Amino acid sequence: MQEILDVRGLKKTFSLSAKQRRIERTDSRVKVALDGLSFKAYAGEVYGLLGPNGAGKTTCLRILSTLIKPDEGDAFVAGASAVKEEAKVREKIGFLTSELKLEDFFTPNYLFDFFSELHGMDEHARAARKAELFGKFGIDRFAEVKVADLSTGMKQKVSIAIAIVHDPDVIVFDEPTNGLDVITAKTVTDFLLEQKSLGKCVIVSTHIFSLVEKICDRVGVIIDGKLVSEGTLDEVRGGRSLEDKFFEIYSESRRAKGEEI
Amino acid sequence: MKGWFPVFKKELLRFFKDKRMIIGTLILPGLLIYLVYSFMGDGMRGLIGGEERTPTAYVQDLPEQLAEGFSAVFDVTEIGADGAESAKEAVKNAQTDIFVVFPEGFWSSIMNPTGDVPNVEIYFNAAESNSSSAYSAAVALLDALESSLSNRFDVNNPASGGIYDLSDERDVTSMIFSMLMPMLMMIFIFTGAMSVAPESIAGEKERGTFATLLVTPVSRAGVAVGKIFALSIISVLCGLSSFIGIMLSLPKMMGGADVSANIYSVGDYFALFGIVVSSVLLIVAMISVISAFAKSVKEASAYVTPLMIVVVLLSVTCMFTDGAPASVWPYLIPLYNSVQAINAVFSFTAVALNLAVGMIANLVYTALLVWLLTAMFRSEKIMFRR
Ligand SMILES: Nc1ncnc2c1ncn2[C@@H]1O[C@H](COP(=O)(O)OP(=O)(O)OP(=O)(O)O)[C@@H](O)[C@H]1O
Ligand SMILES: [Mg+2]
Repeated sequence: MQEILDVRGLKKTFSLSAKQRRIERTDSRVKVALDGLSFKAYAGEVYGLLGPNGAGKTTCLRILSTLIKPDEGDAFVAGASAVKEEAKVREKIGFLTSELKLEDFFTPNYLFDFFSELHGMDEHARAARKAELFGKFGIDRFAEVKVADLSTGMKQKVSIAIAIVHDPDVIVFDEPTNGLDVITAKTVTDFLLEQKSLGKCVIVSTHIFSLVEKICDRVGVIIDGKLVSEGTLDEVRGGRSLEDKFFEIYSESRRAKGEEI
Repeated sequence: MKGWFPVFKKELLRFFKDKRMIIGTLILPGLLIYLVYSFMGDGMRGLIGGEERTPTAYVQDLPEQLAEGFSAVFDVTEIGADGAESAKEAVKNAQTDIFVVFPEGFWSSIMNPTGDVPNVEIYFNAAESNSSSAYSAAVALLDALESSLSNRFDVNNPASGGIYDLSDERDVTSMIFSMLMPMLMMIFIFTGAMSVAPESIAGEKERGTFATLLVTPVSRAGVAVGKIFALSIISVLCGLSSFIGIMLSLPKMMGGADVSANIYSVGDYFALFGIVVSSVLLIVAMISVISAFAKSVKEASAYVTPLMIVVVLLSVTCMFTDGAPASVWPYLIPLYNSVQAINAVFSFTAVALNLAVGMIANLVYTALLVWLLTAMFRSEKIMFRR
């Protein structure tokens, strides 16, 4: 398989505001979000970053998509450095953030055109891509309906279509099924599996075990910004349920830090 | 600046697709200003109309030669000598405004002066404004009578047919405009910008659409420029709506006083347009920078409010100053230069160099702020602040 994503020794520290220190009940002025995170991913696979809240998943994905810079380390997307060659990386990557809320007053049609224009796609490529994605997600019928009037599921589908207008090689989804009903969630997971079969590399972050079991070929378990376990789904599970295995890994890492659970 | 144009278009469309926005920021302000100012004008005239009440006077021994003159001004009640005490009581209790007592044989003693000067007594109540003004009116009336008796010369005698008030339409209008307009225009521009910029920048941050925008190949400078241009156009439109509202209600507000914007030349309007555009760009850029720093629309609005207060205070200053500053330095101070430049145009005290300096200064400040905004869009500390 062709290696397409190479994450090397990412470190990221945030300085905490007084308010955050109070919320997180800590005296430390800094928060280590990523602590030397490395992994690789290949074309034609779904890689899952599994971790609890605050593990550093979103931070990692933001670095991959050039939104923030690591303090140390680098990530290479199709050979381009996320630190030094942002423009190249942005052409190769499609990023869907977990908190995306599309603006109410636009139609899917307009938003799609807007983002394809930003990606510098010509009229022809845009029309073809739109037909493909709108058809696949059933957005056709709602193409001229304002986002405000769409269902949550339809909004999420439009968000996905927009994130991948430019047919990127690497698709990065932060919590792709959060807040979706089972039917919409299935559309999304089916879509991701299809992208994988088309040879794309799909990176998802989640804390939902069932999602990982359903779609991921390989999993990286991330706790406190470190990869504590990695491998194919079966390797990570080691014959147990993913959930049991995860809690075992989790309590081990807590004990290693000398904390009670 | 890659990608500024799609961003610009989208920003405009966001505004024009939002019916509530259009009604709330484009149509309503102009309409409300028109209605409120028109009513205010009517109200003001009503107030003046109400003053036209005829003062009442009790008069003792009114000479018949003066009867006509008195009843033209007062509602006269003649009373006899025995009514004097109760008349004074009536003045005291504000039942009547004044009580005038002419000495016996008043008319004949003034027509054939002997040595004794007759004394007219006017009782009034200084605690009552109606009584005081009636008193003044009576004094004026009697003074006029006195001076007509020994006329040596006249001042501005209406019979001469001369027009002595040399103020013309231009002076009155320019005074009113230069007092009102700087403040009104600045506030309109500001509220226009304030109703769109936080939503467009802090709002996108809040909703996560900014992140989606930033992973596309669009440049940060393109986003900054596209947004500021579009927001400026919208703010100008909002300001224009209010401006039209004022212009339409002005005749009513001034209650028929001769006020007309015709006294300004095309050149004046061009100067005004230049000032307004450069000020709008600057104000939009300021609010955008503040909004980029804020985490939410609410936070942005809270941060912008102090700036709004500064603008209002600056605008008020020129209501109390006569004309605009003549030296060029004040025109380098942002916001203040806009206020004074508008003031200068309306009061006919504009100096071309000063206006040009003000506009160029504003454009330079805007460019600096766009640069700052671009840097902020690049900064993860600001864009992904917690
Ligand atoms: N901009 C920031 N400023 C300060 N701290 C931050 C910032 N972004 C993230 N953090 C902190 O870094 C840690 C990792 O955050 P991150 O969002 O990457 O976690 P996550 O794995 O995505 O968690 P979740 O499941 O809650 O989304 C958290 O403790 C978070 O509070
Ligand atoms: Mg997250």
